[in-house]
Parts: sequence; C-alpha cells; structure tokens
Amino acid sequence: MKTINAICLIDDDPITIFSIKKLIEVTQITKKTMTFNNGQEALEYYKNDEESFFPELILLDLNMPIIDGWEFIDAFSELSVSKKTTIYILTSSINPADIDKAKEYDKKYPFSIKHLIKPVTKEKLNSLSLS
Amino acid sequence: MTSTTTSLQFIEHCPVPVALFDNNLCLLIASNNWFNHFKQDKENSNGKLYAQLLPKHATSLKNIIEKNLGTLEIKKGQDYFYNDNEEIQWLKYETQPWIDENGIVNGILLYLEDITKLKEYEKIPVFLEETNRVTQTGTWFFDIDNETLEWSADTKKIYEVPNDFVPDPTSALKLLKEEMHVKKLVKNINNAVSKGNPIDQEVQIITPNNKEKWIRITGKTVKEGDRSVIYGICQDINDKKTTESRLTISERDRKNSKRALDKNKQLFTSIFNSTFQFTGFLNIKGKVIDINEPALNIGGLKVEDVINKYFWDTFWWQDSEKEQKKLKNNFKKAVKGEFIRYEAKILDKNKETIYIDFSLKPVLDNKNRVNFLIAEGRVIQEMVEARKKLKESEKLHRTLLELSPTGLVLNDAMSGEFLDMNESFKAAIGYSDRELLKMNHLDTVPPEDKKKELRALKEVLDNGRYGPYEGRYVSKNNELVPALITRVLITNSAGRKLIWSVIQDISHIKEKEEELMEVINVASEQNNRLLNFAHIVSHNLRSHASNFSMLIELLGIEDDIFKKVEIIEMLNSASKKMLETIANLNEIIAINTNLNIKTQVANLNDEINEAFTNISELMKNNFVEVENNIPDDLNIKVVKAYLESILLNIFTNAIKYKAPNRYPKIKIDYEKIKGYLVLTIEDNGLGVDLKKHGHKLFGMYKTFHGNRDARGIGLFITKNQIEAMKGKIEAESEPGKGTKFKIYFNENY
Repeated sequence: MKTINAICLIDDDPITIFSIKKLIEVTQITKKTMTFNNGQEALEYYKNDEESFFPELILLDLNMPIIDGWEFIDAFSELSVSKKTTIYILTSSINPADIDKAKEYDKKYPFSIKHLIKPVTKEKLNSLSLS
Repeated sequence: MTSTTTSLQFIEHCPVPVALFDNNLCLLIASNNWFNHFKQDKENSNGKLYAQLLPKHATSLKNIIEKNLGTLEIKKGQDYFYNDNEEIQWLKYETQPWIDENGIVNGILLYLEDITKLKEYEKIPVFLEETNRVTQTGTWFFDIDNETLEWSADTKKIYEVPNDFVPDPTSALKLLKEEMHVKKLVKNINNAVSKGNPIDQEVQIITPNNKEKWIRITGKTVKEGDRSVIYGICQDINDKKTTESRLTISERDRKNSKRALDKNKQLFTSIFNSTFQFTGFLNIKGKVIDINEPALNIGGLKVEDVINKYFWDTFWWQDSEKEQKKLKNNFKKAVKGEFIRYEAKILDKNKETIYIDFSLKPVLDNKNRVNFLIAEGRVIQEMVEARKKLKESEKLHRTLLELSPTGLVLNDAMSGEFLDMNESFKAAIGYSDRELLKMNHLDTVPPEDKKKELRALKEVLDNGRYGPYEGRYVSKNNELVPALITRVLITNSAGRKLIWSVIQDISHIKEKEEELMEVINVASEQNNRLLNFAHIVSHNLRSHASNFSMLIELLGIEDDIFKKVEIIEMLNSASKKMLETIANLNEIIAINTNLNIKTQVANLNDEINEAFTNISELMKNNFVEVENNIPDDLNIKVVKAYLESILLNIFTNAIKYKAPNRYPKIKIDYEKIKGYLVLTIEDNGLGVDLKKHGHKLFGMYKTFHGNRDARGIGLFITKNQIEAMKGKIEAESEPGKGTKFKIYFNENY
C-alpha cells in the first residue's frame, strides 16, 4: 500500500483537530499532518507559490466560518494540485442530504471526494485510501 | 068495321106497348101503355110517321119495320135505346102484318116489350161467371138437414177435383190440411146454423194433386121455409196469401234494410266521431255543415260554436291572420274542384299552436259539380309528442336552472345584454332581474378584466365554448366575485346567437384556498424549521458526542500522564460546549413553541433606547454614531423580550463587525408595507457577501468573519424570534460597505 505523503486536516474545532491529529500519529498512516482552522487558511497554503509540498489527502470539516467545506472544494478544484488529491469530508451529520451532496461533488470534480463520518477512529483512519 | 073497331079498341087497351101503322107507316092507333112508355102525347100522335114515334136510337127496329111492310112475315128481335134520362132501355119487339078479312095487308102491327130489367137479369150469371173466373171464386151450397153439399164447377176447379166429383161434408173436411182449421170450420158452420153468424174463414187445403193452397170460405145461412141452407163462396186466395207472405217477407226485408241503413248511419256517425282525425263537411260557401267530435275536442268547442259559421272564422283558425288567409285561398281552389293538402297551424283548446296535416276534398255530384267539401286534418302527433317532451324538458330545465346552486346566465352573444338568469347568479351578484335585464355583460366585468373577458368571448364565438376559466364579476356593492366560468354558444331557432354561462361562485373557495395556502405555508415552514432543527440538533450534538468518543479513545491510547490530563481538560471543555449548545437549542425550542410568550404594545423608540443603554459601554468604546428616524409615538405589538433580544443582537453585530477603517454608524428607519411595520437598521460595517453566504446568514452556527468570539447563533435566534411574532427578516449587504436588516413586524400580530 502506498503511503500517504501527508494529511491536511481542516476544522475549526480545536478538540477535533487535537483528537484526529493524535489518532493519525497513533495509526502512523502518514508521517506528516498539516492542520488549518478553516478553509480560507488551507486555500492560502495551497495557493502559495513558494510551497511545493501538498498533502495527498485532505480531511475536511463542512461547518466552518468564512469559507465552509463546500466552498473550499469549489475553490480548491481550480488548483492544479487538486488532481492528485483525495478529499474526505468529515461530518457528524447523518443527514442523507449531506451524503448525497458529497456524492454529487464527487461526480462534479475530477478528484475523489468521499465522506468520513465522525467520530474518527483508528480503524477508520487505517481504512482511508487514496483514489 | 065493327070487328075492326073492336080490334082497334083492343089495341088501345092492351097492357103492353102496341102500335098499328098503315102501309104508309103512319100511326093508326097505339096502346095507352105505349104512350106512357114513351111519354108521348096521344092526341097529337095519330097520323104521325113511325120514325117520329120510335125512340131515336132504335135503328135496328126501324129497319125491320121498313123491310117487313107489306110482307106476311113475322119478325122478332131486340133493340135498345137511350131514354130522356140517358138510361139504356132494352126492347123486345115483334112485327105482324095487319091483314083484313080479305087477306089484304093493310098495315103492320108492332109489339114492344120493355126488357131492360130482364136484360139486367140476363147479365147476372155472365157477370157471376166472369167474377168467379177473375176472382177465382166458386160457390157451394149446404143443406143442413139432408147434409147435402154441392160445389159449383169453379169450386171444383179450386179443389182441383174432377167435374163429376160429388162432395160430401166428410170428404170436404178431409181436404183441409190443418186439424185446427177443421175444428174451426165446423164450429163456424154450427154457429152459422144456430145463430145465423156469417162464415168467413181462411183455410189451407191439400188438393188430390198434392198441392197446398189457401182458400177462403164464406157462407150465409138462408131460411127456406122451415129449413135452413147455407149458400157459400169458396175463393182461391193462394196467390194473395203468397203475395201476402211475400209482402211480409219484403216488409221484413224492408225493415231489415232500414235497420241496416240505420246501422250504417250509426256506424258512419260513430266513425265520423270516433276517428282521431279532424273531420268536417263544408258547404260550397265555406260554412261548416257538420263536424266530428275529435275536431271539437281539439278546440274545446261545442257543435253550435262552429256549425253554420265560415270555417276560417272558427276558433281553430285564430292562430294567425296568415293561416286564415291561407285557408280562404285554398278553399277557393278546392271549391273549384281541386284537392288541397298542406300543413296547417291551428289552435288547440289551450290556445297553443298545433300542426295538422290538413286537406280539403271537394265532393262532386253526378254532374261533376262540387256538392260539398270534406275538411280533414290529422294532428301531427310527433309534433304534439315533441312539443309535450319539449315542455317537460323545458320545465325540467327551468327547475334545474332555478334550483341550481351554480349561477346560470343567458346573454345575447352580440350585444351582451342579459336575457335570463337564475337565483344563484342574482344572489351572487346582488342585482335583481329587472336591473340585470337592462344591463350588458361588460357592465358586470371589472374594468381591469375587460381585455381578458373580451378574449374569452372571442374564444366562445370562434370555438363554441370556452372554459372553465377563472374570471370575476363586479357585484352591485362593487365587490369582486371570483367565479369559475364556462361559456357555451348556442344559436336559437330564430338564428340569434346566445351565450349560456355557467358561473360558479368561487369566492368561498378562493377564501378557503387562501386560508389553506396560508396554513400550508405555515405548516410547511414549520415543518422545514422542524426538520432543520432536527438536523441542527443531530449535527451539533453528534459533533460533541464524536469529540467525546475520540477523546476517550485517545485517553485509552495515551500513556503519558500529562497528556492524559490534557485530554481530560479537553473533555471538560467539550462537555461545557455541549451544555452551551443544548442551552441554545432549548432557547430555540422555547421561541418556536411560543413558551412564555406575552404580547405587549411597546413604544419602539423606548425599546431602541433601552437597547443602546444596555450596550452603552461597547458603543462608547467604539465611537458609534446613531441616526434614529423613528418617531416617538410609534408603537408596535410585540413580545417585548424578543424585541429587546433582536435589537440588541443587530446593534451588537453592527459594532462587532465594524469596518476596520471607519467608526461604526447605525441608521434606523421604518416604513409600512402591506400590514407590516418594517424597521430598517443599516450599518457601515464589514458587510457579508450574500451571494456566497446569503443562504446561511440566518443559519445556526454560521459565522462569517473568523472572529474568535463569533458563536453563529445570534441571527439564528433573531430570525426565530421575529418569525414567532409572524414577521420576517431580510438582509441587504455588500462586503466592505455595510449591512441593512429589514425587520418586518406583523401589524396584525
């Protein structure tokens, strides 16, 4: 199995970030985790010309101020790097509408968009895969 | 000469008419009887010529005398003459020569005898015989004591027995056919003998030739000395009887035929009267001479109403002058011998026009002249039926029209005038029929709908019908009556185009519809809110729950005690956040379920000022400028706590999300829009990109500016509060310029 170069974690909730980051460390599915408090910050990183390193997998919260998860995806799709990225939408929602929307976005964009229902566990992290 | 004188004297006194003429045929002497007989004057007679003394018609006697004068022959004969009374008198005469002693013929002696009576007697048997022959009568004679019966030859002929037949009472009675006749005849004879009653009886006999015939036997008793005999007549009356019976038969026939004739007449009358047809006889002047009952029944008339009146003047033909004229003209043709037949319109007893197949038939006499006319009419039953059905259906339609809860209206298609309408329509529109009948369809259409209505009418004229469509009428009270309308074009028998409109008053339906839509809106809004809320609850609680779950998992993994403490602190924090979330959710539930709600009239400015007072510190620190254009007397009906919360939240937001390069300014205005008092609060702050965030501006836990203390709950609560007061909130905003909130307070709340 190909190792994931890095995971980008975007969530406005510090507890969630703390917990998931910790769990990633425990599972060792990647060596590097990058965290952002909202989509805006993450985009700024990806758009930075000076950066040449981009995580192949993004764990994305939906409900965030300034730019929410969906808006992030819309903006992210315009970046060339997106093609090499797999996005997992982190959600506590079991609202079928949210899951349908995730599938819709997966079809809409060339990169893979999947969903990961909270709470995140070691098992769930181990099963993550790149497309 | 003595002997001569004696002889002459003898002549004079001879009791019979005797006359003596000389050879010159001059009278010498005549008996007194002669003069008496011929009523001649004795004194002037001597010496007269015989011709003067004989009756003038006794020509044969005169000839005899002339021939025998001077001869010795004796001539006898008979002659007759008419006396002065023009009665015939018969004479028997004898002439003798008068010879003297010398044997010289000196003259002629004439004896006359009046045999007129004798002559009568002589005739009797002849007459009798003749009578018997003609009347087929015979005689009979019955000597009672000797029981001798004699039949004359004629009687024997009648009995068809030979001439030498000798009848006796027994054999005579045997010839009678009926025992009854025998008894009666015997009785009659006994009565004739004992009481002298005449016999007159008709009996039937059977002759030896086996022929049956009727005879009449009459008889009369005559006393001859001390004995009685019966002289009787027997008459063959078979012919008479036969004639009689024939007469009887013919009488019977006559009676029969009379009866038959009567019957025929009766039959004719009954047919004449019982026919379904209108039948009457007219004379050549056109007057009714007979009419049948059905005809009278049609018009509800009596015979005397029409008899001897001109046909065209009778009740039936009063339908129109045109019909009368037509009849007159046709009658003129018919009376000239033409057979006329046409469909006529006559009046029935209800003064309704009915159609009859009518004919006038001239009846000719043997000289081909019109004698009288037969007027005949057959009521065209189909028409009667059709009319009856039409009437029934008309009645039904009228009833349906009147009783229909749906408005039904008839207008002229071209002029639009009202022609007919039912109660429902009048009730809906508020006009009486009298008013409507003077109005035009477009008078009842609201001016703003006229174009639409004219299009609808054009559709009706083009396609025959239009609808159902929703239209409106203006009532007498100038109210709009919404209606579901269907219009149908019809053309009546006169070719006039009419429009029937079916107008269903849907104002109630419309009201209900609106009510229903409102209910549905409220319900679906509530439903949406509930669903939304359920998701919010689920989402937010699950977020916290998953945090707990993850932290607890980490707690199990982590060995480092310090790190464990860190995790436990985080658990503590998560727990606090969850409590906070639950509190927020409770608040929302409270607002939505209208708990603790209390409506009050609040002075808007008081409330605004109160809010500013509450945040005066914040305002002071941020140098906030306020422009309040609300008049002091503006009051609204609200839940005061909500109004406070709303104002506070919006004002706070205006300050919190101020633009970095300018002092905050809050401008407050109001306007009234359709039952709402709209409060507008405008700031010059950061603004929000509504294209991006509009849909979630009033959402729960939505924040937009990355402020650390933003909780994403304020506007969500504001929205819930304003909606709980049946109002609404809208926002206009441009990033970098500011935000304007429009808060709609429902004035009817």
